[in-house]
Amino acid sequence: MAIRSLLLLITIIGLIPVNLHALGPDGQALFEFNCVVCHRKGGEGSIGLPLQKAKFSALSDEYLRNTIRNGRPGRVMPAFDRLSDSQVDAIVAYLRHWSGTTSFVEAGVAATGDAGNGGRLFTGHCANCHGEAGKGLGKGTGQSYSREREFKVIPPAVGNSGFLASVSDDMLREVITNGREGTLMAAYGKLGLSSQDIDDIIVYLRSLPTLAQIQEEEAYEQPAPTIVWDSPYDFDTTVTNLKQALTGSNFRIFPDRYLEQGLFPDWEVNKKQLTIRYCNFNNLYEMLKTEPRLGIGLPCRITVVEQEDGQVQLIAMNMALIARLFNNEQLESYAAQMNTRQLEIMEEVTF
Amino acid sequence: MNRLLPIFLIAGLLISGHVHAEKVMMARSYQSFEVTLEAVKKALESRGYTVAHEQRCDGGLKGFGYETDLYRVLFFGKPDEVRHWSNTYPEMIPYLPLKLAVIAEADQVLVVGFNPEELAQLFTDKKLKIQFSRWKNDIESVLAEVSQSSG
Repeated sequence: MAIRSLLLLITIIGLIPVNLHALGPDGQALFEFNCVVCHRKGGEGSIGLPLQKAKFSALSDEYLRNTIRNGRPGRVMPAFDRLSDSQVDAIVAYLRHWSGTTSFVEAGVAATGDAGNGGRLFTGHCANCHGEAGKGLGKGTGQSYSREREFKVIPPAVGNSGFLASVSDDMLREVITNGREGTLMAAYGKLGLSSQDIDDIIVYLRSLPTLAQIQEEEAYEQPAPTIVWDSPYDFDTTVTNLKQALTGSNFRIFPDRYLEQGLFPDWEVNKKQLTIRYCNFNNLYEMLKTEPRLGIGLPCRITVVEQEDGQVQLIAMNMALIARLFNNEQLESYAAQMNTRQLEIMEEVTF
Repeated sequence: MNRLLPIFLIAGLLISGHVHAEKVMMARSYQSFEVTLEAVKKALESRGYTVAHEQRCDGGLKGFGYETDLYRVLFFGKPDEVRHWSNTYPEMIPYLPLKLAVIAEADQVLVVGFNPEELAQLFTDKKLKIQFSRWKNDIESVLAEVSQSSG
């Protein structure tokens, strides 16, 4: 008993410095806790974009604070709204120390100009890398380690509402005018764009949907967790129909698995909850390019269930909800296609 | 007293590990893929979970141009919980058993799972909401342990 108490005491004492370290606004600890999993320890990038030290001198502290707070809706980076202001400040201070830079100084000069001209200039000069309306270009997130793709590092979606809510006109003007060393971003101030042209582009970007508008839309559209479809047939017939429909739609079907398989001894497993797992590898590859963590939603599966009252149902995950959890708007279009395909299959099975 | 030990341990690990808990919960491991995979299984089992199935997702990935193709999904759960909630709420079935993906990323490994609490807002049952919180806390502590053990 005494030894156990001593061990507990040692454990608690050992943990106290760690806990106190993180409970206070220790920027390094907060960075390691919240950011490293996506950006890596050295900022090399991963699921999140690389944090290149040299670029930090072009970023203001306010931009960094806003970026942590707002995230990038639909572009994987979450909004860290659970952090206190002092914690966010501590992370920003740590990033300054880590990068060896000082904050970009804001002059506070708002852009004025012609959004129409700005839109035309954006399409002509910027959309090749930043996508139409600055929605981003290239599939994937952050930095790819596992495969070749269109861009090794995905260019920023400069039309993203989280980005626009974070960046000042001064910062945009500076980057468009002088470019960014070590990236594909050219200095358009030296490539024929006038100061007014550049301000017109900024005014155009400011005309795009705002963060508040995007958040309102998301709050309104809350996807259901599951797609459920009643079958008029008995359990075995429904399973047979489902396999035929999947095969006819060029899906590869994996061996059957009961929902409870591996959790109970075989003789105790509920045999009226059968999961049919299927995959189209071409689709899978495209989706993994877009979201490498998608495995937690895979493989595609429809479970055939017979309820106590004899009703047979087909039950599948709503991929729209999965796309929302990943904060990945590129995935949303795939999710919509998959849901449509799943519904067509369920309809065919139960016709 | 003994009951407090895991609580302190989990709290310490959560605060010090490279784990992030939002809608998608993640940990980064600096150990090899195989060691990480085993560490995840061990951490789950030590919390009373059964690993029901290990899904290989890497069969064809190299053929599609992946340089790193180690990719597994672990299906896990507590048998009685899976049975209870799948019977009570059939719409929970696609999310059961719970899942963690173990994904190689060059010399490091990501362990990824959904935050079960994200489903809580879609259900009104208070007991189910408590269950979601327990699952979330367990997954968080598993990720913290894996991350911590990898340095």
